[in-house]
Amino acid sequence: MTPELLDDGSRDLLRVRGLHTQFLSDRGLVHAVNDVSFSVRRGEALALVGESGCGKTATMLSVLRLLPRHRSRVRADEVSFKGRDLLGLDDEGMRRVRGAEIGMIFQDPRASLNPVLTIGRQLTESLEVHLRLGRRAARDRAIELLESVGIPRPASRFDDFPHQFSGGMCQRVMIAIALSCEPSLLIADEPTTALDATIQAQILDLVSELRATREMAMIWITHDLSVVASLADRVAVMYGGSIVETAGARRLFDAPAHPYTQGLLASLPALGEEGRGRLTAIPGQPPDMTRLPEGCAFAARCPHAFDRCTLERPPLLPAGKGVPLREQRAHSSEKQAVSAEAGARAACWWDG
Amino acid sequence: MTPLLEVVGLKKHFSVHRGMMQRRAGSVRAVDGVSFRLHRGETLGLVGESGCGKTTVARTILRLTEPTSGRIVFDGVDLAAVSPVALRALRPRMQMIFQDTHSSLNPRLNVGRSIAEPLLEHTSMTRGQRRDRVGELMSIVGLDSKLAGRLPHEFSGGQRQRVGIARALALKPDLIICDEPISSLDISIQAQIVNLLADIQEEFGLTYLFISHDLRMVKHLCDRVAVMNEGKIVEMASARTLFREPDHPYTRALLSSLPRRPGRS
Repeated sequence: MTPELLDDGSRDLLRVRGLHTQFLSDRGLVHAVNDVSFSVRRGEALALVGESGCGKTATMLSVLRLLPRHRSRVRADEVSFKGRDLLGLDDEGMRRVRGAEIGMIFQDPRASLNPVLTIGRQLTESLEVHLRLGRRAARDRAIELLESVGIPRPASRFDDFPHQFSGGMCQRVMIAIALSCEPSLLIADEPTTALDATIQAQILDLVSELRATREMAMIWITHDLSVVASLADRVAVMYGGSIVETAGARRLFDAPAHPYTQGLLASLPALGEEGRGRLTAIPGQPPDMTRLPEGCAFAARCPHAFDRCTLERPPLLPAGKGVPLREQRAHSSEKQAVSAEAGARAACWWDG
Repeated sequence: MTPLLEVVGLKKHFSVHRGMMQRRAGSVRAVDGVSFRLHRGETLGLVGESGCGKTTVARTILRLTEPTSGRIVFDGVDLAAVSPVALRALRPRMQMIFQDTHSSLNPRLNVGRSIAEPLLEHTSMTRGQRRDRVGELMSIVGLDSKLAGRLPHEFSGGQRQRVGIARALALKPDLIICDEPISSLDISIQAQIVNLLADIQEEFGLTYLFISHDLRMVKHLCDRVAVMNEGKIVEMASARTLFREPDHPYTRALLSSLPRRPGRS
């Protein structure tokens, strides 16, 4: 059994334990999520990081119960939100949680907005349904929301259609919709990937600011490590459908524990470094999710893999008990303190 | 020394038509007076946000799009003034690597055949010679030549990009235009492809025009960088200078949008 990621249950807003998700594709049964456990506290920003196909989006869609039922199988020991069991809710109850209590933003804002409804209508719709506001009040509130996400002259843009907005502006509208019911948790799936660099920076600033003023918790799903650094309190790194490392954002970048995280950080070109040299690439390629290996999914690409890694999948262990043991032996007391504080864990058998 | 490529005052305006009669309603200045030189063995980065005109610059250089005006001089030859026959003779020397490896390879051709296509089109090699050359190209890009009979969908994104690179190398080009070659790849694969591009550049003395929005990779790979905004080059400098002392306000905005961490900076 995977050990609990968080100690104290009472402060957890969302808690997921032992989540498994499989779905049918043309290529066979995809083992998208394999025994994933995590939790998010009130006001906390968790980044779920990994490359395409690693199971990060499938994890969130499973939690929100948005996967097509006839093609997927989701089971978990626990999925609870504010102490309520989400798996036991009926569809109507789940709909009320999504939107009203959990806001969502997705990668492609244009695809998520209805092209034949005005921006204003799409905003007031959720206000009328979830907050039971009247037309008038909903309109006023919607204009306030558009203003808070930095849409210039919101009252005059209220009756515009999505195609009249740029990609960055559409994403702001999506954020406004997601925030409209003042959710206590915002789930964002690659919300800035399709946007240009300067727009991305604006959206990140906006979200950080909104989060600070509303004490909203957030799960930010991304493949972009540089985004994580500026946004998250805590990071969970996924590979091959499992969380392979979780740590405070600072610690993850300063002392990555899992060989995959180490490899990713080492492969990024440094900004200040002079001269070119070669990048330190991770060899091989991500695993086929229809045929995951018995042991650690990263073993085939790992420079430290040994027999046990291919035989048995490692659980998340406190970092320091696992990977950087060699370093830990050198100055043990100091390292232990850091890992205890940040709750860093890595799923790895290698101990130097 | 003459530059390998010289672009002078390049313009590409697309006309916009409106209404039922498709009346010309104006024009979009996608590329609006771009000039630069590219020397042999050099890598020039072309950066800017989507819609700034960088891909249109690439396409007009390869004459996949006709420029509205301006000159493109490749190895001393003005491409606009040259006969179709002479242009065809120059084509093998200029190649392109694309962003989307799904749409840039024919899904029905096995990858060996895709790599061999330019050889079929531009050389008089025999079937056996082509097979040998394909095997050689595949090993250059780090693919097992036994996989030549497989179809593109059997490959991962990174492997498909290796196929695209092998095909671009087939005719021993001088210039390769890389249009966002890594942005659709998994993060753990990007460094592999960047290393491969650097290796083959050194081995074959290639010149690159590297189009990207990934400023880190641009800094890593490029000698000089041209920053485009709204169809114009607003700043051009050595990679080192540009990242240390960006001059144009747009360049500064672009660089400041780059998160500082991670990476040792």
